[in-house]
Amino acid sequence: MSEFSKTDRRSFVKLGALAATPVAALAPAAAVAADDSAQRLARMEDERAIAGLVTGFVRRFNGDGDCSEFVASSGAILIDPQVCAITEDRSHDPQLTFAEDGRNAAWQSHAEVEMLTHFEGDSTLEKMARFQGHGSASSRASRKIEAEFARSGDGWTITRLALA
Amino acid sequence: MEELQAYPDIPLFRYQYTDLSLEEVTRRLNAPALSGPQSLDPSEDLANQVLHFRCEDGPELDFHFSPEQRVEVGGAETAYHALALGEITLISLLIPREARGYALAWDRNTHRATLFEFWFGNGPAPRAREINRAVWYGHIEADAAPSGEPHHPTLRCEGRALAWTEDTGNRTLEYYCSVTYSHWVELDRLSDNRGYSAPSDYVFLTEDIYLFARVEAEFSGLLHLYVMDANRLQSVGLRLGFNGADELEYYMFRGTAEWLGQNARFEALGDFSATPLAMPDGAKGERRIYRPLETMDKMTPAEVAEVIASGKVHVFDRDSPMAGNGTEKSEAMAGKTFAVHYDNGPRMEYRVTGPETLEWRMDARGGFTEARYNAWEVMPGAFIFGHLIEGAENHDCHIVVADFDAGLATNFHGYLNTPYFANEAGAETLFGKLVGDGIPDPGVQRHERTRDLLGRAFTWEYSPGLNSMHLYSTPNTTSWIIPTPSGHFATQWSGSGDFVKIRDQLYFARWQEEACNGTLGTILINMRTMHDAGIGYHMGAERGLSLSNVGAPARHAGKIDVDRFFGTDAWRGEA
Repeated sequence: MSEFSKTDRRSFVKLGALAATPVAALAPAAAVAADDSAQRLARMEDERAIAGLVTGFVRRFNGDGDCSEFVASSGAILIDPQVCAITEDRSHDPQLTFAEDGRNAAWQSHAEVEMLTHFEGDSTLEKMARFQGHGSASSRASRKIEAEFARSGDGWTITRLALA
Repeated sequence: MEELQAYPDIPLFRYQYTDLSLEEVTRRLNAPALSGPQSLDPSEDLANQVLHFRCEDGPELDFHFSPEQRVEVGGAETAYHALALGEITLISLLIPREARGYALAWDRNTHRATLFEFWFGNGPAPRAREINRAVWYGHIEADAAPSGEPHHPTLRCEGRALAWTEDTGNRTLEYYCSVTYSHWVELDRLSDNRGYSAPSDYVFLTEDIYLFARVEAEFSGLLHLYVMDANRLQSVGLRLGFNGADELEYYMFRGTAEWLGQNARFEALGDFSATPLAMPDGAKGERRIYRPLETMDKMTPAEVAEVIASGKVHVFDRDSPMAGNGTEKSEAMAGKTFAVHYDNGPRMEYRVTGPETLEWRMDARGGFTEARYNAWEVMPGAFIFGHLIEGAENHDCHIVVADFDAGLATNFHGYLNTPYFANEAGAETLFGKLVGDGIPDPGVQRHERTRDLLGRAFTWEYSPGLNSMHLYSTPNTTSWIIPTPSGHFATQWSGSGDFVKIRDQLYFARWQEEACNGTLGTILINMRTMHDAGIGYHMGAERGLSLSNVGAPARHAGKIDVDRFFGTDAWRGEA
């Protein structure tokens, strides 16, 4: 299948708006054991922030495509260039895991993606498809959003996001 | 200059048809127009009748018939010939001195009518010898209003095949395997058992009777038009145009057919639309006619060598749209050491050093050469693999099916620098045996050519939106037909094919895109899993030389019964 390629339209981010998407947090044992209500509250805020970040990223990806405000660097996003739209599948709970130090997190959720393939090659089949006026085709597939996050000075940022 | 031949003894895509000028075409049409089309069957006598053809958005023509097969139309007097098939009368005429004419299919019961207007020169066809046509659906004005279903384009013929015999004695296999194209095999006038593809019209006249017309575009440019009764398997028709010797063929005929079967069609159930490639803004008579030679790279041997020397060589190093739905590559050949002894061919020694690297040596000459390969195990123990023969003067490739359980191998040996275009792939089929530890010795047994695929059609779903159908129309022809997103099969082309049985329900097939895109396509078809794996070998100016994977799930569209029309050696090109 097609290789993932790094997009060039993403750069540094600022923490996105919070969202209220519920997430199934798989917090590290130390965090779970903590009986500190302030720490629990902070963790819940982190969960909401990360879920909101993913939702904001998807919304922007489907919009003007400029996701720069959500990601740490232009190399953070690994999405097949054929993907033209992402729809989060909310019938499955996302999985969120925090690192021991609470400064990094990993996310996995389900999504439906729409892919647009342009027939630009020199195979006879592509040439004949273009000749018939069909220069591209769209298709849908189930994928997983796999993302990693880092806590920066003023919130969370995406350090890696891929569709698997 | 080669000798002109009315029906060439070389493939039509190799024949240099004369580029007749419009003036020359007009000159050659003049006298025959005044005498009307020839026919072995006498004309219907329409003397003293007047047919007023009327249609929306098209010509209004009045045909005033007089004795002795004369007719006046649009102020011009000429000769006509008319043949009846049931309630349909087909009338043909040419307008003198104007290189144009008409064929009118008139339903005497319903007064519905279809007018084929045809002309030579001034486009849209790029050459004056290629006939243009416009199709008008209308009626003949009469005391009674037209009744019944209006004539219209139809997909009802799609997938069918008939064997026609004309009263001239000419026999033709006709595959109506598309809504906009057809594929025909001349059994008498051409001797190489090849099928060819051409843009075609299919018109619904009645539930029984259709009008069919193909223009042999890219070849002679002849029009072959007939009204056919699907129940009675009879036809009346018109042939008009210039054959390979530039002789005018202008005659009407009667035909009888044998029903050969019908392959499946793939529009949604209930979809009877029949204009999948409509060009509403096109010029009069314009339609999508595939002209592959126009877009093909045409390179010299020096240009091929230069591009390859520049490093533009790609061996399984990028994703292929022809294998988006392909199966996983196999690593099971890694570690094998074996040889292939081809009959009347080389002896190849192989050391498979990894899942994608091997070393080969030919005829025990020199040392081993490393090459990148890919392999697919299409049935347990039966692999297809391919690699380039680095250093070969013609940039050869070996695409091999190796059956390690049987000790047999077959090679579709591809090469460049054919006499026609240096970047066009040629191919030969080599049969041989595998030699190595643990590999059974087949003795004199070899894989053999097969007729099992003859007449079959498979769809191939390569990648989203990239689909085709193969029709193995003769023992040496592979034709491919491209569907629209609605499932109408439309544009079609064809080239040389070869078909080898590997095991029961496992076949090695190839096609050559001659005077087209130059590719050698090879596939190993597993009819039990209905999937294939294969390798494409291609040379182009921009992307260079490549070996790339091919793979798709299949649907079996059916099998047309044509075996009896071909002699035992028909795969060679001569019956």
